Amino acid sequence: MEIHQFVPSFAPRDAIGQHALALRDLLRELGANSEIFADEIKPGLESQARPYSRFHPMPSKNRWLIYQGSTLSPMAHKLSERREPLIINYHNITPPHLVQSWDFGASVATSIALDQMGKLSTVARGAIAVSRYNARDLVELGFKDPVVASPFIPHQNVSPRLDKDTPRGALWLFVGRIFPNKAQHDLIAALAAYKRIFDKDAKLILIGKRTSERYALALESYAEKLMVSDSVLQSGSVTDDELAGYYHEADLFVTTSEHEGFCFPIVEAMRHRLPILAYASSAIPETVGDGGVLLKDKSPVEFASAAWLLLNDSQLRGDCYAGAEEQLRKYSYQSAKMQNLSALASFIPPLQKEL
Amino acid sequence: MTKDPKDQLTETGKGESVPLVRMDETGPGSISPKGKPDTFEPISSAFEESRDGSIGSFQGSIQEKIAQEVERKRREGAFPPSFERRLRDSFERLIPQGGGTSREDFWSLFRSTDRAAFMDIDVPVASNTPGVSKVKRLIRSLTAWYLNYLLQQITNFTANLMQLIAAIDLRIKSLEDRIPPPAESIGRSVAIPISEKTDRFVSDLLANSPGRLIIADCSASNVLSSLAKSGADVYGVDTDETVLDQLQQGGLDVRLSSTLEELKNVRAGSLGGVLLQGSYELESLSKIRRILKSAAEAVEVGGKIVLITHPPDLKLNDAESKISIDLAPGHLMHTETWEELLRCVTPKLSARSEQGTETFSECVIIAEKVSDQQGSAS
Repeated sequence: MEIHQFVPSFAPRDAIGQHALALRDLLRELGANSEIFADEIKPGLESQARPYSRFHPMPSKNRWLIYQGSTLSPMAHKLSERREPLIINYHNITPPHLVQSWDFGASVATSIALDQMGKLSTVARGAIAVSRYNARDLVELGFKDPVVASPFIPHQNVSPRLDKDTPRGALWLFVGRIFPNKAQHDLIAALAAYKRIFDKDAKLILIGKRTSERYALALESYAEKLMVSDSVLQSGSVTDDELAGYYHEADLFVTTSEHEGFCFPIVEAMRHRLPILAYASSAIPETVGDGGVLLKDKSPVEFASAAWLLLNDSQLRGDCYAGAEEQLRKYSYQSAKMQNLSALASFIPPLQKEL
Repeated sequence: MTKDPKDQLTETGKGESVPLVRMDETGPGSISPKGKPDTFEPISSAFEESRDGSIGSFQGSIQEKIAQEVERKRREGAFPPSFERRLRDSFERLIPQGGGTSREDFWSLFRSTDRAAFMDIDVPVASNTPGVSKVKRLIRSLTAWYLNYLLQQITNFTANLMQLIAAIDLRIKSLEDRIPPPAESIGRSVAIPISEKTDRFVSDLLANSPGRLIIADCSASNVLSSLAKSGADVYGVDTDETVLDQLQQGGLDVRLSSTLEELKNVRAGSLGGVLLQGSYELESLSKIRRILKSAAEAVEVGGKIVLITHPPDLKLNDAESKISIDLAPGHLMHTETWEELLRCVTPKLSARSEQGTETFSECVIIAEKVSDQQGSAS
């Protein structure tokens, strides 16, 4: 039995790459011949994946293909022409309208990517979504019966932070690429409100690659206009150890993202026992559950007030930590393993004996 | 009845190995094909969680605490009424108009598209592998006649297309020139005085409303201050920053925002009432419709939308008001027209009018939101 995965861009510490690696290892444990093929393999990962161009040109009867869909890729079209059964594992595609003003090219690319995904609905044997939100998107793209299975989130040995009230000098943390759909400008506005109303020494750290330089520069200008540039730091990409350090030092994890198919950093924050304050968009309510505070709108004053309550109400934080524990159980390796195996078995008959 | 495709989703096992059940086969909470009870959560409710931001009881209790904290800070005057508006405006000025909405951006986009329309037939032939470069060169020269033929047609098509876009732009510009500028750009705001009698009548009318009230153009009357004194849960919106600062110093909850903007931002069905007064009645018809529609959406069932209107034959003495009214995008309308408009905008409103006063002949129209069933019956 061969079950191979296809990843548009295979990068270190990337959520989709990590998910694909864990799934490959699981499939190998079950005795399958399983490899990862990618359009683009980032340096350091050459031993873990092969270029798509080297994939068997001839079809085989005992072979299944899994496409990790998240972006525009020429592989999508090529996979749709293969005879082997194809399964889509969907991680979501950023809606074009969220980036159009900032990056017209990116909006065209995501638009084509959505079109590609829609076309795959006619040939795919089945589809697995990493969240219910994503499953609903798949239905809208034409897939009939998407199945929800949590993604594999790499295990980390973390020592949880010590909980404390933070009446002064709070450090807010955001983790994710700098891109318009993440709406970091709303965090800057909320920080400006927080500094004015509650804590003039508060700071915000934005960790993540500057995927849109134009947007990243606008964030800098915005912070200057609001006179909070000294309190907002864009760190760019950081190493794993540095990231763990930031999670440990921060007082609050914040996000005002407009669109997330899952949002891995929320789970990382839960593992570090960091309070979470998030705008309830897309898949975020599912991922946060009762493990953090969710806001229905983005009013900077409301966000600032929620942050103040969360940072200075130990009872509220305790309730959130309890909720976070529940979410962490939901997103454990064991749970992801059962869900993915069960999902794949419905499309790959030889896997049914493993259930 | 056809099943909503959004309900066709399935979730896999929760902690244990369980057979997969599709909702279109058995439905949530039913027995799976293998006879094992389906332990999956109902998918539709969880979807609501993730899609529209509505959240459970744990989150609901926190929302109340947050709202109280915001309210407390607002009343303390911890930030000026214009604060949030300024934060928003500062960023909006930084957003590039990549979609070509301004003229400069349109032409910048047009030029880059024009450049992209040019296609290069001179395919690169370089290669690191020995000999491959020669093969590529040979293929290029052998296929040049074919590619040239195709390219000529494509170039012809794109050139025509760009010409067409330029022609469309000219036609749009000529249409834009014919549209009169809105009142804001003329630099005048319109506010017809409201009599004390109407002021008192409306304050009494709204005093016992359950739920939160919004007073549009709150500087146009004393209704906001009267209602606040009577203990109502009320706030005002206005676009006059100086007046708002004064009102806030008087302990009133006021926000810098236009009526339409504010009504669009509040959650549907969350208000006990809305008072529309001041400049709204001289807006363009399309904007008035949007204001009425937003107000109807914002109030809860049983909530009131109160309109203070003036008749078309209104006589004004001061020159400033006369000029403002003449230059406004809209014009004053009869009570019957307002009632008709309310009916057109939403059948969920039941409207009645109260006669005006001797001085200004104002009319107060009171519309109450009724339930879906009542709305369709009427």
